[in-house]
Amino acid sequence: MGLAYNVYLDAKRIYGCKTCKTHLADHDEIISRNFRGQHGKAYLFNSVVNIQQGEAGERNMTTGRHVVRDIACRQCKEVVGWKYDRAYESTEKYKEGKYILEQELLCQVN
Amino acid sequence: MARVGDTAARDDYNVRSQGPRGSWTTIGLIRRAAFELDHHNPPNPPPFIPAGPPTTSGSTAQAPSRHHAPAADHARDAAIDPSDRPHKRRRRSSSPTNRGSASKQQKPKRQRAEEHLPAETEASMRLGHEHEHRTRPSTNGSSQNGSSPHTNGSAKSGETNGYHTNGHAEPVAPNTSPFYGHDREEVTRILLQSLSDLGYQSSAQQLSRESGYELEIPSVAAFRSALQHGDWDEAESLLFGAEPAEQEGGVSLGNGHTGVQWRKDRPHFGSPNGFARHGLPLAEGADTTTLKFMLRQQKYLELLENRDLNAALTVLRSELTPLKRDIGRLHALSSLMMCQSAEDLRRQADWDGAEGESRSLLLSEISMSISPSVMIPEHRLATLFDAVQEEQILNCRYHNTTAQPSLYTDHECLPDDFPLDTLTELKNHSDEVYKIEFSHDGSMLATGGKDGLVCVYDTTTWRLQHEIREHDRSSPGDNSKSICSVAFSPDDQYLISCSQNNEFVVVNVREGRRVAYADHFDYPVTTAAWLPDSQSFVVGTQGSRRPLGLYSLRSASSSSSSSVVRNNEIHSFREPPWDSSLKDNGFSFRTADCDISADGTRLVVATITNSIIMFDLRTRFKIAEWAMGDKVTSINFGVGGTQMLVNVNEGGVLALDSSTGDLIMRYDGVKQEQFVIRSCFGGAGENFVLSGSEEPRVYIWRRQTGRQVAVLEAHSPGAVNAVAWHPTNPNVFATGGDDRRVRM
Repeated sequence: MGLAYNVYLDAKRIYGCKTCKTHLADHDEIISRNFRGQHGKAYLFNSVVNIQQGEAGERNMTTGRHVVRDIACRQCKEVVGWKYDRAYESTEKYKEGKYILEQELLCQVN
Repeated sequence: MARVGDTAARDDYNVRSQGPRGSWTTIGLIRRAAFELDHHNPPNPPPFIPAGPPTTSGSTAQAPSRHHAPAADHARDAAIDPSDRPHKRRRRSSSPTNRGSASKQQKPKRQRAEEHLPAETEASMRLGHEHEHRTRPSTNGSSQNGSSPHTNGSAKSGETNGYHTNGHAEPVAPNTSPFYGHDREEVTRILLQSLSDLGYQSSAQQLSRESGYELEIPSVAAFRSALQHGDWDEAESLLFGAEPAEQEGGVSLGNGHTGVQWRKDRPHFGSPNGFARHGLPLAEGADTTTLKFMLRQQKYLELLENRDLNAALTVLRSELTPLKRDIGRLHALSSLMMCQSAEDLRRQADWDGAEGESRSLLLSEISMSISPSVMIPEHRLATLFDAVQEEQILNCRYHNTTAQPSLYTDHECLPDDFPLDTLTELKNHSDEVYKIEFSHDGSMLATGGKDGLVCVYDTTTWRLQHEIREHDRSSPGDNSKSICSVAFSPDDQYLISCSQNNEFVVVNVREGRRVAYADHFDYPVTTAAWLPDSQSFVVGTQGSRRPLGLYSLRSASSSSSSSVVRNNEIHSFREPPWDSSLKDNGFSFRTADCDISADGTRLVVATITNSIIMFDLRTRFKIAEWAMGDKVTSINFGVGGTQMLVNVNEGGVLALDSSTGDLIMRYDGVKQEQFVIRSCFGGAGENFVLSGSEEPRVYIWRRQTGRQVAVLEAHSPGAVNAVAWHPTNPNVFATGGDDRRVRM
């Protein structure tokens, strides 16, 4: 649908989609590295770019019940992680509106 | 309204008014003026109408019955000065009561005409009048008579038309009826000016005889000839008056007397110079010092040209310097003294000599400062015509021609001439169409799309000429090979296609094979623009290291024309500029779109970070940078390179001035949030702005007024990505959209 250029980031270390190298997030935006996803380690990012959001759904995670939605690379449509919409526990509220990118599905683009 | 026949009635007024007033007073004059204005209110300020010949008074009562006054005066004036006696301009403003009382319907013209007079000249006018009037009494022996006819004559609509019929023995009864709602005097004088401009001098004279109006009062004519003959002193005194120090509004009797003396002492001014005392009435806001400076500067330059250095030096010292303005110019002028010869002087001062146009140019400049009713602005009729035509063209919705509309009828274009219907559709693409461009001569149309295919069509038959699949080589990664942009070279020989798989290719359009390419990019190549020499071009990518490169088709190594040039980058534009001392130059902008002005001097770039940067192509330095509110997706030069058309997300389509970056016009209606939507100027004379949108619609606006001309449904579903107007045929434009079609 129309021509759309990707957003590019200017930073020292940039993570991109493993398959299509689209810029996804800046290394400096990492909030926490203590996450685990389906494929292993994952990082919590403040902001990501060039992604398409999926449908929201409730999931039970190790930390409790959350409302999350999957995010996929805009170009190659591969799922790269998820986004927290709502957290039911007050201790998990800090995650709301933030993104998880799985390290397995990322690559470094300098 | 007063008519010639009403003279008798008017006489009554005169007689009546004269009664109580036996002497000249300023008030009297004012009164008289008021009276002129509305002879129906005699009692109000009993217009001091010096008895004078009844006809004269009567005529003055009439709106523009100048003729009478001069005729009457003629006999009297003959004694004083046989030369023409101009009518003084009369400003009524001093008597607001009078004006108010003037019955509107009686003297609509007068009122109107008088409104035009700038207030400041009133005082001078009045004094001028009084001057004349004073002399009258002395000559005639009756204070009233002398002045009244004179004033009366000039009282009309304040137009200082050099109206004096003294030269004509027969009194002409001026027709004073308004000409379809316009002041007869104004219309006639403008006609006179136009006839003289057209060269029909005898007709002009005939017209002035018949109507009784003259184009210019003698003092203006004297000023004009003084200027053209280089008689600077006279010109200056004519313009500013002999006694510039005396500017008081009221003139007492004593003053009047000295005035009389003055008049007698300067016989050469004579009666034609009713304004002699205080110069020609200047327009509002005219700066007398500037005018003096211009006059004296011309005098100085001419003296220098004649190598009369001493006189020139005197002028510089005594006349130019005391004016105390524009010191820089003064210095420049004094340095001109060093010039060796007249030729040198002319070149250095950028001045074409006394023989050349300079005098007439000076005249035009000064005449702009003189009140317009004294000296009608040049080519007034043509100016009026231009204004009307411009207005009609602006209001014309479908104006798609550059031909000048006829003056005979009001101009209104019909929508039939405007391309509103689909002519044909081209279906060659297998995926979305992203860019469309016509060749510069209009013979070819190139389209590029998501399928990596560039199609070149012939625009007369709309058949496919070439299919160029240069981007088909598979590259690692899944980058789509979609074409972001195509660009024809100015000579229409080459076509660049830029694609998202990080390369661009230059193809010879006639043969359909590639002549150059570059694939050393890490990021999609988004845009390309040619320089006017058709040999070099600028390519923009989304990489941040070398975002904008200048490439050439000729490389130093290749000599044969059949080899393919590869990666031949000449220069890279970046901001901040490349510093070879830094190891890692950091990030520069990333290009979204770029364009080169038609003269090849400027390059403008729209970046991902919402700003527009302009470079000078010859010096390769940045000229300017402007920040836009949101993402800029497309940028084009237009209108001879003076304007830029920008598509901004959520902001619509904007036309910016290309030297200052100011918003000239904004065209609304376009929906644009995530995709690249393009727009362009187009139509005859680039009168229209065309844009696509994320909805399946094409928008068209009038460029100058911003008015929306049409909204066409096209390419549904999906966005309209690209638009292009046929450069030579203003009735055709092409659009391409997500439905894989190109529509004409």
